[in-house]
Amino acid sequence: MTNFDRIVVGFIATFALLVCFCSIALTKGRVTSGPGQEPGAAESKLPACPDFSLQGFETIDFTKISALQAHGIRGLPCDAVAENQKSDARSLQHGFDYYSWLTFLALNSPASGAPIGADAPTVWETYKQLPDVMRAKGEPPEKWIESQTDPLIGANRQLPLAGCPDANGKMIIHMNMEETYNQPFKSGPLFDQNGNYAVFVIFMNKTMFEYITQKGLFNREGQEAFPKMQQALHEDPEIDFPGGNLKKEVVGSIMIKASWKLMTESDLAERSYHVIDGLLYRAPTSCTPVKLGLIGFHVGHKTDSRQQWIWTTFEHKDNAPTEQEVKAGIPEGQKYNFYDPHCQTCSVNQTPDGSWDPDVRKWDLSHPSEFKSQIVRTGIHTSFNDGGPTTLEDDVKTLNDKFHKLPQIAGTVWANYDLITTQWPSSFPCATKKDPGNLPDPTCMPFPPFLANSTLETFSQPLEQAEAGKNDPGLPLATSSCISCHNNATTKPPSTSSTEVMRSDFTYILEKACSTKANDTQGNCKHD
Amino acid sequence: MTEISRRALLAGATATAATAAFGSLLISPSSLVAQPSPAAAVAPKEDIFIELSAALTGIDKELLSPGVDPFRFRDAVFDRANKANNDAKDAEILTKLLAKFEEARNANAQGFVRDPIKKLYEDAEKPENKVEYEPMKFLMRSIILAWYLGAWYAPQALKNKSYAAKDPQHGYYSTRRYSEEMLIPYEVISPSAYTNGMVWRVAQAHPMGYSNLQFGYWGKEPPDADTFTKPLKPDPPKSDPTTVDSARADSK
Amino acid sequence: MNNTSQKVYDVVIVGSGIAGALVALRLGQANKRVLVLEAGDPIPTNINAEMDRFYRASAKVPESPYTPDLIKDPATVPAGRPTVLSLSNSGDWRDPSKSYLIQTGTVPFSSTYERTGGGTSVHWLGTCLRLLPNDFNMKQRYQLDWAEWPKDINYATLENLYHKAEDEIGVSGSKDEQSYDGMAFSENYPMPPIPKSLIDKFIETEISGMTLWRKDLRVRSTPAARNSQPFKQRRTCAGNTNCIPICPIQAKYDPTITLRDAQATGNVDFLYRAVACEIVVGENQRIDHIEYWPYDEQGRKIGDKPASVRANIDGCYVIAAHAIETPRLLLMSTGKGNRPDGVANSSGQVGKNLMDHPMYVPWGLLPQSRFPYRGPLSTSGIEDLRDGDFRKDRAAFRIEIGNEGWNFAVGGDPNITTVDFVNGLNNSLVNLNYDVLFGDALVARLRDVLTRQFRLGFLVEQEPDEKNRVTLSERHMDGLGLPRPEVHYSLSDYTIRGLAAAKKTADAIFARLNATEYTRIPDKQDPTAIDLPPDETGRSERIRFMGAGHIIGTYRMGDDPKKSVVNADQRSWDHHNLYLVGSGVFPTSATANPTLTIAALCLRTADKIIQSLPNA
Repeated sequence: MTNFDRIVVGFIATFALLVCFCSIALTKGRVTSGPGQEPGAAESKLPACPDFSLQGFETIDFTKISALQAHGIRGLPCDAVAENQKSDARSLQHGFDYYSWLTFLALNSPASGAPIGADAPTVWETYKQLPDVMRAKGEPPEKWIESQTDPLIGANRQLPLAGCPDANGKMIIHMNMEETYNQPFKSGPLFDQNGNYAVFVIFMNKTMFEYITQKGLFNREGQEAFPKMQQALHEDPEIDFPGGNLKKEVVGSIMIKASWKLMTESDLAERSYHVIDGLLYRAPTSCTPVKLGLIGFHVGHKTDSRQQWIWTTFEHKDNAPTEQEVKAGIPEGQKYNFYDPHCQTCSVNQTPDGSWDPDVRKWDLSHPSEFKSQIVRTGIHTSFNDGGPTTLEDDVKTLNDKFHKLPQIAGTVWANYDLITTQWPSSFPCATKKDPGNLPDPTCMPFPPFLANSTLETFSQPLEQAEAGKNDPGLPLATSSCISCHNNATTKPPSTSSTEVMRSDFTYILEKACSTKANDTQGNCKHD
Repeated sequence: MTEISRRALLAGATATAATAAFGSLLISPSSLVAQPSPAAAVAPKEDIFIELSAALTGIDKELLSPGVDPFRFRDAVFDRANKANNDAKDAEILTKLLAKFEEARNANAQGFVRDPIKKLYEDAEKPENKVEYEPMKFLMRSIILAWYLGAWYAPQALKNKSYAAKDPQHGYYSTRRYSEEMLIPYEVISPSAYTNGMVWRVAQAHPMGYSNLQFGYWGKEPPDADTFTKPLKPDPPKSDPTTVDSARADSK
Repeated sequence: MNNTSQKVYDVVIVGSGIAGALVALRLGQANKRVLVLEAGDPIPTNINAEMDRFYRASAKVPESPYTPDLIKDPATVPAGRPTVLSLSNSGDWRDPSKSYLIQTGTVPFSSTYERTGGGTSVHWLGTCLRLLPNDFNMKQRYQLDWAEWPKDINYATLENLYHKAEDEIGVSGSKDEQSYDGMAFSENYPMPPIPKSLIDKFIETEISGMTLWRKDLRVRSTPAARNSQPFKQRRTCAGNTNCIPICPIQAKYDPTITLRDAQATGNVDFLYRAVACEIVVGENQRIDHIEYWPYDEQGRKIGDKPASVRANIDGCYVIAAHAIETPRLLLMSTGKGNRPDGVANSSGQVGKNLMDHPMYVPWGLLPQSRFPYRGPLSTSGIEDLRDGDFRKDRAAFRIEIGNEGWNFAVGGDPNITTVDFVNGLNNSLVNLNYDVLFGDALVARLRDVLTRQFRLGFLVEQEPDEKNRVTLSERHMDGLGLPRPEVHYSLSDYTIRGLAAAKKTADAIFARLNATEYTRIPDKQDPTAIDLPPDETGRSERIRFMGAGHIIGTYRMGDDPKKSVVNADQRSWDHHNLYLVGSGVFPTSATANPTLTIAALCLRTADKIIQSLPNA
């Protein structure tokens, strides 16, 4: 498959430190050109997927990372590999966390083809957004656009109506869409210390997008017709997004959820965030330019060996303190996006009174909210139970430090982003099986069992004061867990359909589809 | 290459062995125990506990103690059994039980076809053993119930009701009569113990209040019984030459 | 929220259960300013604490996730409520230090309710059946000397409101399956029906062609407030088999959803931990204000006298405190002795005609494994016996098919059966030899029993009876010093004949299924034991009845102010600006779970209130 962003970085890496398990030659004419790069250049020798076997955190270095970034899409991994070829929880977790960092660097590389470093619009910002795929009247989405020259954010985007003439190159924030400001299942909005909403945006990569369009899943009628269509094609009547596979050198379906901060001048002066130009769009014609700062970043990647997907999440370091940090005392001068160290009366991790709807609250950038969320990251100590002295959280911090200090990263905005952890299905061979109807537990024992991004699952974080070694940092289903929650996602055939819903392969994107008929007014579905 | 667990499998190390290597370690997080080599001559105490539990519950060891164990149910049950009566003297009962079980199991290895639990129960009935074996007998039952229900039924409580049930003079035998007094009080060990309880697997269902299953599953036959109580088998390798498996074979 | 008492409200609503929530929502959407008073705790930000309480509870009764704490002397609790635990046979139901309700009958009133944000329906099953046309017409149709529903309230006039309620709540169902006994549907349900379980399908096959009481029996999927599709940003049902007491993914509707929607209008304020204690009547019999006791998180009163809230002069008050607390509040509102009968009680009917659906639950083992403990607690029922000529002589009933094995029936399976086989007991009655099992033998035996368990539930209509009533206790107070509700309850012969018919029906169905019955016969001294009238052979059987959680009738609606408390709009005859909503208005109990009808009537009342208020 082609991918417009397989732009090879200008230098060829050495392979000395790479253990290469496959000798498959690149035969597909996937090579594209970046500015000034001749097509079909020497990069065709590199496998499309970096084979990144980790031999311990201490072996991570700049050369190795650069070498990996020469593969495929800036070194975007096609799958994860355990550390040191071991099968214990710690080695596997290290492998997944390393995979997550490589994924973060690859996706946040500039869309222009430049190496990661100075802040610039990223690869993933060129992906399609949810409302551009699940359109208000169930219409088919527009084709995926591969921009060769100047991949602007928005090249792939449906432009809203006449109200936003200057939308080119800007990230559109659909403020009327409840998913933009209200966390999943209407669990609540998040207000920063400036009184502005945190806004949430969902993206998908081309692989995922094409599966949806080819299978007609972009409206409810198409989802209804899917089982019969599959049977006619002699394929399984199951939603099955294409998975990444190291051997086959394909990156799988990727979905992303980003949380953004609406940046004020003083926020921008910190130069601490990845910032892009955005437009705050409120139907029908209100379009306000705004600068967006990245504060949270979820990536879900389906791979053949992890049919329950691999779940990665990053946060900006200044979002919220952990409960340990609060207890120890916040140093004077330390600021957070969602926590005021001086507030004595603020209730922690609570949703605001009054309406959460920005229109009803009469919120806009010049009339921020008086209520500000007071958020604490409730801590987990996940022990690997192998006798080692460090917890899962300790180890990811070590890994974060290593990456922050890489020359490409140090001193850039990217050094301000922390991997929280990676959740992955741990039960083998369960994780490889495609027939969840025949499994006692189709989630295949996610590890770690709970995972929340303080900006995206603010109100379903694990319990406070979870103690080291305590078995229950959270409650199943009530406490945030990527895999457990996404496991509940289904399709959404029309309401009068006799076709039963189907599992939608761990994505809620499908249930945002609208009907082509006029009576569907749920969510963003509208008809004139 | 893809993740190592698959490689370990193909190299002949089963997931169970991986479990043994990884899982046979400390129970209490506060004590640091070095990782024993898988080839240790004498299985550490905790492994014996899993074997005992498997024999008692009829559930496969790998399900009781999976390779990567997010909830560490085994630790919760072991900890509870270890201090069954909150009394230093009674904490030895588990140690004794494990020793006796190991003895019975080794006797099995010498060619007798003997169920070690059955042997323990039989030994417990011998008059000369009654006093010594009785606490162990009821502790075994507490352990089964802990695994099945995620709840702790104290051995003493089980014993109290058990004797009463067998006493015809107390009239508990009526086939249609129900007495609330026969119900045994218990304590849920923890939410994750409840949701990991084995009884739901035996019922080919899921814990009430915790389902990972798909919409409409209740109208379809469940997976067969063994899927719930025995480890899953990997799918047979495909013959496609570009798959992981054959390439791995190449790279060896 | 100290400033709420300074704000001006159009409407003050007491109670945040489904009735109060729906009225608040509609009023908020119509830009009216609303204040909701709730005696209990606020809606939590997430359900972590509730799930924790539930998982850790040894008795997973409906109240187990919710506050206040279950084991507390009701005299110390500011907003207490009855609990299932206090109904145990060992006599707790009569012990005021255990039972919140002061029970004065020989038969315990066996249903419970909540006082918390979201009300009792936080732990409802979700069943959304409509009442039948004949349910509204029992006196005329069956010559029974019963109170009548108002002439403006019947199936035809409610049909559109039922549909609106189903849309608002999100009910999954099939109008074809539900078109029996005169029910007609103008529109489809908003979602397709929940699929039938294996147990449903087995029963369906086995009873095919069966006729009883001259009705053909059929298994129909039960319309339910349970998502068969993603709906309004809530998840599709995943069969957690935990509807009662709490759905971990909110695939089952509960009123906290409506409370959040009401909050989203920006026009609705909430005052939690605020126990209304007096409705104060002013000039011209208009309600002037409502007094309430606020209390803190530790359960202590705040202040030395009650606070008050008031609606503006053109506004109104809505009491939505369910059918025991509402009459309690009305009766307490004596205006310091000036109104000895309380508020809204010129008919004398407040508190009277307390009804429930006494429920008969037989259980047993099917001849083959059909795998209970899977899916929602109930997905289907046999509804054909809800109506028929027999209603002249004895109560009708509906039949609920349970998917949860013996969990509800024996009060705590699979624990009880598992302990039986491990410890050599026979509480389940299946371990006849008192076997002690372990290992493979335990797995095999337990699997065999658990996978064949099933139970039915017969919800019997209860005849209205003045003697069944709620009054105020003279001796027993709650933690705020307010008199606790005193309940006198009994079952009439008409109702008992209905239970007898239910038993007969159960026997016939069990025989048809070739099932082995394990229903326990209660002891004679069990207060919920009913000796059924002897049959033709002179044999009298004894069964046990349970409460269905349906509390009905205590401030009934009617067309005659002398005989009813409210009119067809749920508006008090006595006080023009007072509405009393909820299942307390039903003059008869019918055979459907009342919630959908509560919702339909509340939507109607909300519209009437909106029309009565001046435009902003």
